[in-house]
Amino acid sequence: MKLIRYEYPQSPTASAFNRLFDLGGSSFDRFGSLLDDFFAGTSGFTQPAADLYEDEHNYYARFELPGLKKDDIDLELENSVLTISSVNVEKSEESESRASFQRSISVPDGVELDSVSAELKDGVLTVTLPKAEARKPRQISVK
Amino acid sequence: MSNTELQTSGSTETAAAKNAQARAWRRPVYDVSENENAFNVRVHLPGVNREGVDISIEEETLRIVGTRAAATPEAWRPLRRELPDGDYRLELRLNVAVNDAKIKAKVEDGVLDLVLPKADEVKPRKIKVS
Repeated sequence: MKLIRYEYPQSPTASAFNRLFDLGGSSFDRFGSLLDDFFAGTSGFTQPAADLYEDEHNYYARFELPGLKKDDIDLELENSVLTISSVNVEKSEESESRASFQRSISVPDGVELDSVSAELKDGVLTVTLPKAEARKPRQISVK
Repeated sequence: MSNTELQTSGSTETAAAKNAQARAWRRPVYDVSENENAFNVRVHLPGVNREGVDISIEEETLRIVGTRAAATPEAWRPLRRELPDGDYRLELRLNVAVNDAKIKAKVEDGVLDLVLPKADEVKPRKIKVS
C-alpha cells in the first residue's frame, strides 16, 4: 500500500512547518478531515485532525473533539512528543461506542515543556506550547 | 421503516453554494437514531456553544445553523491546517410528523442533541435552545 500525504492547499508554510513538527504517522483516517465522519474509522484507531499555529509567544495545537469530556482525554508529553489519546467512550443508555484515537506530534525545539497547558472548550481542545525565551523574536537596536 | 426516516434535504448543497462567498459553511457530522417516541438527532458542532446554535423548523425542513463562539485569533499564524473552516449548517427534511412544541435541544461539549417527539401535525415554529 502506498501512502501519500495530502497537503492542504491553504498551508503555504507547510514545508517550513514539517521541519518543526513531525506529524507522526500517515495522514489517512483522520476524522475531522475532508472525509468528515467521526464514526467512520473501522480500524478502531483513528487520528484526529489537528490545526497548528504559532504566534510570538506560543505554539498552538488544536483538535476538534466533540462530545468528549476533559476526563476522557489523555495528554502526555514525553521526550518532546505530545500524544493525545482517548479510549472507548461507551454510553449505556443507547449503546454508543466511539472509536479510540491517538495522535502524536513532535514538539519543536525551544518549548518550555514545564508550562505547556491545554484547554477544552465546546469540543475544541487547544494545547498551548509556550516558546522559550531564546526562541522569541527580539529587537536588536543598532548602536 | 421506510416512511419514518429523516431525510437530508437535497437543497443543502445549492443553498450552501449561494452563500459560499459571503460565509464559509461546513456540513456537520450528524447521526439520527429513532426510538418508539422520538427521533434523536446528534450533530457535532465543535467550537459552538449554546448561544451559537440556531434551530428552526419551516414546514418540513429542520434547519440547524451553528456559529463558532470564537474565531481563531488573528495573531496566530497557521503552520498547518487540517480542520475545515467555517460555521455549520445542516438541513434535514422531516418526512414524519413531529410534535414541534415538545422539541428539546441541548448543547454540550460541541455536540447538539435534539429530541424530536413524533406527532401528527406539522406547523412552522421557532425553537430556542434551552
